[in-house]
Amino acid sequence: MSHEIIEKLKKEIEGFTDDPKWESVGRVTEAGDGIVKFTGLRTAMSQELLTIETDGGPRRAVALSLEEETVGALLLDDAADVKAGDTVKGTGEVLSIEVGPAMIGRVIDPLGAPLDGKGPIFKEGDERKRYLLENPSPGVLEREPVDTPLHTGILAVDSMIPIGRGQRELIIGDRQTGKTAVALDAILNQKNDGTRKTPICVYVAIGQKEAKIARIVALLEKAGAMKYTVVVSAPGSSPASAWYLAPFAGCAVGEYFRDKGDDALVVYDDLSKHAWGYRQISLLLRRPPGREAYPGDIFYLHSRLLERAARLSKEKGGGSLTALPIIETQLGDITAYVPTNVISITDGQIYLESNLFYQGVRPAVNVGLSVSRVGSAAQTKAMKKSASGLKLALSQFRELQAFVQFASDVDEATRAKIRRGQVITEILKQDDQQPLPFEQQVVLLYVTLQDAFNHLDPSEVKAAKDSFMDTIEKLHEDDILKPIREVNDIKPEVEARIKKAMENIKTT
Amino acid sequence: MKYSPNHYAKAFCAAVAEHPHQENKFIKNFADLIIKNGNQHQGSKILAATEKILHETHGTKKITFISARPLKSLHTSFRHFLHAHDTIEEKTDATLIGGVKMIMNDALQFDGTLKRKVEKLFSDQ
Repeated sequence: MSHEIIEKLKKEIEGFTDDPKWESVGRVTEAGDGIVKFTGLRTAMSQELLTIETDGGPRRAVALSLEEETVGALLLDDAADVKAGDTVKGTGEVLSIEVGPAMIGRVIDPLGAPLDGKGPIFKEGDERKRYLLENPSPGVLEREPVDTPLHTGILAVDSMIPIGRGQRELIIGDRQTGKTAVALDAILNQKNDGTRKTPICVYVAIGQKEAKIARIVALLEKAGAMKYTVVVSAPGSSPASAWYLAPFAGCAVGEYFRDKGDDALVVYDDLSKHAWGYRQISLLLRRPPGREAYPGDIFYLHSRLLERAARLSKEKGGGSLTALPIIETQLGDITAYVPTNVISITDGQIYLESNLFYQGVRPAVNVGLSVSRVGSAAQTKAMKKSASGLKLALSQFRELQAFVQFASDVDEATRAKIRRGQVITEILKQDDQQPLPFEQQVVLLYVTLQDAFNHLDPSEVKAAKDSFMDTIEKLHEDDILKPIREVNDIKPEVEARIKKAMENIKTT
Repeated sequence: MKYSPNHYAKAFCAAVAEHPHQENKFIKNFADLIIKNGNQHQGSKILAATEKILHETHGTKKITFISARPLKSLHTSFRHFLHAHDTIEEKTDATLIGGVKMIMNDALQFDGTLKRKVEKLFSDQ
């Protein structure tokens, strides 16, 4: 055995050819906090991958600040060995990540290295491609309007704030309001949408606790969602460079599938931490701080990332990349700097309120402040029919909510509106990790707006709803659910069957 | 006001260029100014920046030779390839194992060391 090893090494040495050349190099002048500044290497490009020769071996960095006399670079590897005087070499390559179908089901870091202990991502012969982390977004002519729904499985969202494939929909709210839960339900529900292509989902965890990321991966695995999901992890323990690069890496992974003609969904959880990481890097690079100490290009940081989500034209393959960025607000302030930036970039927002959450309304979606700018263009005919009037009913209820405690003192019509609003609120409540397939949502909304539950006390609605849906699922899969699923519409004969099934609620 | 090493270097080189016969006096004044401004801790950076600008201005070079062990005839071997005002610096670094690395003006490098060849050999496997 050792003889074979020696022979192998001998052949390598005998066959070794060397061709040393003059290389352009730089010299580190400052190193610390994950940032290096060096002189020389006048040919350095922006975002170029650099190699720093340290005593502990080569370390990677990416050039960010090209100044008159020095270049500021962000360290991608362990910073402990880098010191002033070390040599810096350029690689001639802009920062990129290797992507391919083999990534599906894996947990990776922002540079594409596996973190799940399952070995290398790519094996010999695997399809793979290099995608730039900073790819330009598709132009106007390469896009098509968004018209295919991306069902999240959350009744309140799919009925009133519909999301389409290729849209950017922001999920915004205070801490612990269920933002990640909404995004995860959207990922889990993709396997329920049988008649459309299952989008490849990319979950980008930025600055989160490693325990939380591990829980999310375990949840996705248990639900079978890892069969179409890639997780990009930049936990709280990772340096700011990882926080900064993670969303771009996740977007590059999603773009690979988009450009192949598939659909992809990328969740950025969350972009507030992404902004913090970028602020840290910019301050260390001595860039002038602006409002809230963020650098001047904080808007561009998020706009160029989110513009890469698009629905491509048929000539470009017809694929799509949907983005669900998450922003955490402080004390419900959606007028702060980064939240307003991202609200203005995205095609709508799902606003989650702490008050609603504590009142037991979960998901805590504030329907009044939430919007989808794509709207019903991304809804099926069935959903449009069944959800018609829902938003109006809820807004009327909200106006009358102050009278709820005095319900006995108001006229019959007002009391009826209040009762209807209470019932709808109960119907829209949904447990975590229990996404509802869209055909079931259609049936539920149809019967709700036909006032099938209005005779019940709000406390009895959940049990009645669960019982009714159980019946529909078990007894009416072929005559109600399947037709709706296949044609995305409620045909008159199906409507008649739903009305008949609905009678059972009224008799209970 | 805070001055960077480049500011100091450029000011000194401009002063010497205008009054070359007062170079010695300016060197002393330069050192006094750095101490007066409390920038002694940046002395090595200021010196490096000044050296760089002087080389650029005069078209001369600074060559640094780094070898694993001190090489006796290195200086004389390369002297006739260089101009009279070029600066040669020699350093040793045992981690290079063997061979020589040449760095010109801290911007160009020719690495003929055994360390690089071994690294390349193992990275090519």
